[in-house]
This record gives sequence, structure tokens and C-alpha cells, in this order.
Amino acid sequence: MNIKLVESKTAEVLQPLLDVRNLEVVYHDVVFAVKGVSLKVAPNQVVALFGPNGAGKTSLVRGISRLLQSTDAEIQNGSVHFDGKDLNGLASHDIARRGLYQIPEGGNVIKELTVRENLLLSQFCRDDRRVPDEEYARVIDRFSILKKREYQLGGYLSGGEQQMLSMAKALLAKPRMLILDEPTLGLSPILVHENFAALNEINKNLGLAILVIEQNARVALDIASYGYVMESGRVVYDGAADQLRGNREIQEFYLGLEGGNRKNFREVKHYKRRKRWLS
Amino acid sequence: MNGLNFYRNYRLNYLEDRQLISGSHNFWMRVWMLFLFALLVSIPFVFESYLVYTLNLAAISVIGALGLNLLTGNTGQISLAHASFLALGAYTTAYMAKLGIPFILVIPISGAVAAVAGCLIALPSLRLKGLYLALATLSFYVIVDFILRKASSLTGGSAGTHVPQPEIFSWTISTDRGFYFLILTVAVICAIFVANLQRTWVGRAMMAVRDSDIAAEMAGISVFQTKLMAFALSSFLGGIAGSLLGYYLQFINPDNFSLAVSVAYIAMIIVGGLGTVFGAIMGAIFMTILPELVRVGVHAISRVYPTLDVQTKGAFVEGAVYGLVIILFLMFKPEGMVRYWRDLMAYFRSWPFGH
Amino acid sequence: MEFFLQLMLTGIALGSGYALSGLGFVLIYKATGVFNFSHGHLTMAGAYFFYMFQVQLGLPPWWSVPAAVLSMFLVGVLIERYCLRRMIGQSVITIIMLTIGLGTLIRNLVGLIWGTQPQAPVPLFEPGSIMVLGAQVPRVYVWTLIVATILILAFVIYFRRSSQGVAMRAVAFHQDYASLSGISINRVFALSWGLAGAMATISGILMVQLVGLDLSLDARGLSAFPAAILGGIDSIGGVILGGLIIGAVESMAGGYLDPLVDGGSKEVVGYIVLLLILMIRPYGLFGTPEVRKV
Repeated sequence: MNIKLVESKTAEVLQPLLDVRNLEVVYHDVVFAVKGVSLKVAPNQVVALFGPNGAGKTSLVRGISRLLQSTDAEIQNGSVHFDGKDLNGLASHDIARRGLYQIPEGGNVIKELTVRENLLLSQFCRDDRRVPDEEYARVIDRFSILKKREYQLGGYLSGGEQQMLSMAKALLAKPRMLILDEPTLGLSPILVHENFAALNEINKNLGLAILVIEQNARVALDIASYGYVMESGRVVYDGAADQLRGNREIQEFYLGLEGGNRKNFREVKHYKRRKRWLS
Repeated sequence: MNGLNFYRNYRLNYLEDRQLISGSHNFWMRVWMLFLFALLVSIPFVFESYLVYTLNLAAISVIGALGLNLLTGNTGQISLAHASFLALGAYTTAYMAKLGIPFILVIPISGAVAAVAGCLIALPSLRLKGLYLALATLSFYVIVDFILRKASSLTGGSAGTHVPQPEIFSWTISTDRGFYFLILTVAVICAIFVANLQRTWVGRAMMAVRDSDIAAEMAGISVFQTKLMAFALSSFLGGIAGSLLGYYLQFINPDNFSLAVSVAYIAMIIVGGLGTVFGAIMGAIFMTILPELVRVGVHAISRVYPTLDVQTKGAFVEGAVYGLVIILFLMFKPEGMVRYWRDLMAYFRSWPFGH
Repeated sequence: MEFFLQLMLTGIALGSGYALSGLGFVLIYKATGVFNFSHGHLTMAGAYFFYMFQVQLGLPPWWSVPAAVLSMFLVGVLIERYCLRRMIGQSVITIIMLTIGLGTLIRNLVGLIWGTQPQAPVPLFEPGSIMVLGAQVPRVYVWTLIVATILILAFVIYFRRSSQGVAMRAVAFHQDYASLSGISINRVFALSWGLAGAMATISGILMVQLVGLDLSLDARGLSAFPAAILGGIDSIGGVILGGLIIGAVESMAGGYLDPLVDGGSKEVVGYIVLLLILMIRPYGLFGTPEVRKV
């Protein structure tokens, strides 16, 4: 308990690993998807990002990793700093090589390559440009299902196995920070818990910072120390995990407590007050 | 008030919505269309025969482009064999016209022969998509080309064959002007047919197959029938275009229907705007007039700089410009000329508030 | 029997040239997913560059070959940089049409610069034939086979063993994911187009030794397509085998069918084989089928 509180305070004090300031992402020149979002992730911190569908979370992280070309989107404003350096003008592979590794929605398994080839792709992120055999063996033993399917095409793996493969790839790439976009999408509850346990382990043992976008707020808040809530392209609430868990609105909208009348977040008093200050 | 409705985008009643050409219920729109029609009809009487010749070729290309647009733009099937269907139409016409059959029968029958061949090529299209289909059509083209050159008794081989003038009840069409009206009539009929087709269930089925054929099959559309229909219709129109070309050129040989011709048709629909009738028409006219313009330019340059010997290399210059135009359009305006048109209309619609 | 053997051997030699050409073509497909319809034209341009270096500029052959290869490598890189890079994300039809337009442009530029007359570069190999397995085979064919085989092996080793090869395939299958894995897409594209240009040039030079240099070379370069498809367009081993088969079949057709149909059957036969392959096994002998989800 206490450890998490300390971590959230130090987010303000230490230099953040990932520092996003006022990022704006626009689609097709007209659709304003991310309307000036700021967030910070400290080293070794797990930060969760919540929000309803269409809030702009995926657009935000794609903007951070500069993956926007294929969807005709661009960053109009704002800056992203990773490890103190500005990411402006870098291509997505440069960002990955600097240690900011993203697993997009649905995983990043290349279906036409075998599991082994997928794993070996991580060599491009590493400084030594190759995957040492012991590390490869260690990772593939950790995920036993992958070992069974080592020479099968990635496309034949089930959704859960693909997520596992994505995580294994991420581990082999030795990043400084992981960004995960909805890692539990379409997974059974058991797998969800397993994956998040693995994430927690990664964070504690390897010291990786993690930014996870998650609809499943309960599970995410279990391992996160800080959280941001986005709606319609803006951050409407952010705070330490305990604060979020205790917050009534979050409880209603994301934790599903107190079922019944779902209010629109916008009608809530706090939101309106905060909105006045933010906009 | 009514005058400003030219470029309106919203409809006020069902009558407006049903119009084939948007706004044609409007009185002033009808006046405008009548004016255009009068303009079209008067062209051969006003302009010299070289221009009429060019326009005739352009109109034939329009018919062919409309056909290919049905296949590639609406149904998403890439075909490099379009020239073969033109060839089939033309050679059928040559054969039948020599027998003295009136053109009013020859033209549709040539189209039908091409359509039957089109159904043949529909068979591989069931299993093949995109690139593989393009290659299958390429093979089809090579095979047809080979047959045309070898079956000398029927086709005159590589040397070609003569096509008599179109006649019906002892009335022959032999002047550019006469051909102009014949071709224009056929082109207008085809354009209306294709534009209408896009709005029927056949057209919708084609677009569904283009966008997601597996989903279309699951929604109850027989993908096989739709593809068959698309190939048949597109080859039918190609056959008609070929037939008219045969009549007009009066002498055809396999080189008139080379791969470059297939490529030219694909260029026409892409430069014009894939999937739209208007685009096919504009693209066909533009890409037919372009080589002529280049030729004029080459002439002019060779007169000013006779030493450059540009004259003999004129064909290459034309070809290079052709290729360059295709590349530039695809790089900078892949949606084609239709996009220019729509931008223009949008500008007028929002004038003076446009940005 | 000797006739058959002779045809078979020349066919295989010719086929090795096709295989080499097909490899460059398959390389672009594997790396960028683009089906380069202008490959035949690049082959022809490379051959003409070689002619320019060797005859017009007077360089000795063992300088003119690398010069031509290097120039076409650059041409390939430039094409990728300025024409194809902005086409990322466009539909299949658009990109195919772009390469067709490119091919048209290249062909016409070549015709513009060098004219329609067949040119006569200095042959690289001595004329005459030698006895192989009891059949008379022109020396050129033997040399072609040797050179092509060496180059193909070199290429295969490079592609399979090196990390660049896996990078190329990753980029071909999913650009976004490959990029997220730290692979520089632009570098991969540039490299593959450059290599394809270089390989097209070598195969063009070899073909010139066999059939002479004129503007119909681009149609011959087109024979790479049946070779690539027959073998499976994303399989390197496949395209090699495909090239050999197509070469052999063409040679046989030339020897046995041509007298029957009065010539011209060689080109058609390749495409008939292509059509059959597409109908029966569209992914070729060794290609991987697409994994498609709705």
C-alpha cells in the first residue's frame, strides 16, 4: 500500500521517463482525436489509461510512437519527451530502438512469420542486434505454449497466445518502457489475470515502466500506481490509484459498482468544474 | 433562388433523390443539359475533321472505359485483358460485316461474343484476387493475341483484316460526321445504362464484392454470379467499343489491341476516378486527347528545332508523357480527375465562405 | 535424343537467367509487397546502360558490368524514394498501375535515347559451342548458367541467413508491426529496390548475350512473372525452380511446337503454364497461402 503512494508522489519529483505535453492528434485534417493531452510516466512506474471507446486513447499512444502515417493522421501540436529527449521528427522504429516499446491493440504478431521468427524480430531493438540464445530459451520456457508452437505460423495462434507472444517479444527487446494498448481485449478472465500478473512481474523484476490502456479498470488499478481518465480526447481526471479506486464517479463508470442509472460523465459535478479549468 | 440550386448537395424530396443526374428535375438544370446536348450535336458541323476524328476515338474509349470501370472500379477485379475483348468485338464485326449484316445487329452481337469470352475469364476470378487475377488476365490476353495472329484464315493473322463500312438497308456510314453520331448515340446509351446499373441491386452487389467479398457472400450475395455478371457486362461494353473501332478504322490487326491498349484503359479509369461513371468518361476523353496534344507539341518543336530529330522519336515522347501522366496522377491525385471536379464543386458550393 | 538434350540444357540455362530476374522481382514483392510490373523494363534499361558503358563510353567489360549494375541500383533506390514512398497505404490497384506507368515511362525513355535499331554490344563470352553430356550447347548458355547459379546462391545465402532478410519479410507482411519492432522501413525498401534493380541488370546483361539487345527485351524480362508465380511469389527456392521450369518449357516449345504453329509459341507457352498454375495452385509450388480473416 505505502509503496504505491510513495511512487505516485515521486512521479512529480523525479524526471519522468515519458513526458507528453499537450499532444494533439488530428485525423484526415479534420477530426480532432486528441485535444491536448498531457501525461507523465516515471521510471519503474505503472500508469493506467482509462476511457470509453473513442476517447482517443489509442490515437494518443499511436501519436507517441509515431505510428500515424497509415491512418492518415498527424500530430498537430504538443511534444513528447522520452528519457529527456524530444521525439519530434523521429520515425517509429527509432522510437522503438530508444527503448519505448509499444504493443498495439491486438498484439504485434506478424501472422505470416513463425513464432520463432516473430521473437527474433526483437533483435532490431537491442543494442547488440542479436538475441542471445539463453535469453531466447528463457523467454520461450516462461511461456510454455509458445514453446509448443515454436515453428508454427503466428496467424494460427489464438488471441490469447498472440498476446503472450507479443509480450514475449517485448521482453526480448529489452525496452525501458512498455506501452500496451488493451492487452486483455477478448481474453478470458483467467488469461487476463495471468497476463496482468506477468506485467506486474515484469515491472517489479525488470524495472520496466508501463503505460497500459485498459478497459478492465479493476485489474489495471491493481498493478498501477497512477491513472489517467480520458474522454472525448481530453484527460478529465488523473490521480493516484487509490484515489481513483475511491472516487465515486470512476467506480460508477469503470468499475461497474452501483449499477443502475449510468450517468454521462459529463453531467457529473466534478467533471464540469474541472473542465472549466482545463479548457 | 432556383438558379443557385445548381451545386446544392442536399435533396428536398424523393423526386430529387431518384434523379440519375443530380438536379435534373430542376428547370435550369434541364436548360443547361439541353445546351450541352446542342453543343455536342453541333460539334461535327463546326469543327474540322481532325478534331472530330479525335473525338470519335475518345467516344469509343469512353464506352470501353465504362466497361472496365464496371469491372475494376465497381467490382474490384483487376483486368489486363480488356484489349482482348475489344479485339474480339472488332474481329467479330469484321467477320459479320463481310457477310453483309446490318450494323444495328452486328454491334450488339459483337458485344455478346465478347461477353461470352468474358464469362470464360470469370472462372479463374473465383479463386483469384488482386494481383493473381491480374496475371491470369494477362495470360488470357497473351493467349488471345497468339490465337489472333495464328488463325489467319479467320483473322488475317498478324497482317490484319479489312472491315467494311457499317451499313443498314443500303445506307452506309462513311464520313467522320456520320460515325460521330453513331458513336455518340451508343456512348450515351451505354453511359446511362452504366450509371443506372450502379443504383440497382446488381450494382450494389458488385460494390459489396469489391469491398469485402467474404462478408458479401455471408450476406446472401452470390459472389460467383456477381463476378460473372461484372465480367460479362464489362466485356460486352468492350466488345461494342471494339466493334465501333473496327468499323471506324476500317482495317484492324492484332497490334491495335496490344497490352498497351489494356494499360491505356486502366489508366483512363484511374486518372478519371475509379468507380465513377463521370470519372470513366473524363478519364477516357483526357487520355485519348493527351497523345494527340503531345503529337501537336512534338510537331511544333520539330519545326522550331528541326535538328533535334524529334519527329521520328515522336512516338516515344508520346509514350513517355503517357507514362509520366499516369505516374503523376497516381502519386499526387490518386482519386483522379473526379476529385478535381468535386473540389471545384465544393468550392462553388461554399463560396464565398470557402477556405 | 540429342535434340532433346540440347533443348533441355539451353532451356535450363535460359531458365537460370529467368530465375535470376525473377529473384529480383520476388525480392521487391517480399520486402515491399509491391508487384513490380516494370521489372522487365528495368531489365532492359540495365542492359542498355551496360551497352552505354561498354560501347558508347568504351569501358572494358569488367568495368562496364559493375558500372551498369551500380547505376541501376541507384535507379532502383531513387524510384523507391521518390515514387513509391508516398504510395504507402494505397490500394493494390493503384500501386500496380504506378509500376505499369513507370514501366511505360522507362521503356519510352530508353527508346528515346537509344532508338529502335538493335544494338550490338561486345559479347562477353567467346562464341561457339561445347559438348555437354553429349549435346552441343553454345558457350554463352553454359556461362549464363554458371554466372546465374553463383549469383543466385549468393543471394539466397544473404537473404536467408542475414537479419536483413527477416527484416524484409517482416516489413512485407506488416509494416506497422515491423516498425514497432525497430526495423527501419525506408531502409528496407530502398535496399530491396536497389538490389532488385541490380539483379535485373545482371539478368539483362546475360540475356543480351543470349538474344541480343533491342527494344523487345522488356517483353522477355516479362517471363520473370510466370517463373515467380509458378514457384510461389514469396518463395525464393520456388522462383528458382520456377525459372528453370519455364526456361525448359519455353525451349521445348521452341524446338517442338514452333515448326507446327509457324513460330511464336515460346512466349505463349510460358503464359499458358502461368494460367494453369493460377487455376490449380495459385500460390505456386512453394508459396505460402494468405491467411485471410474477414
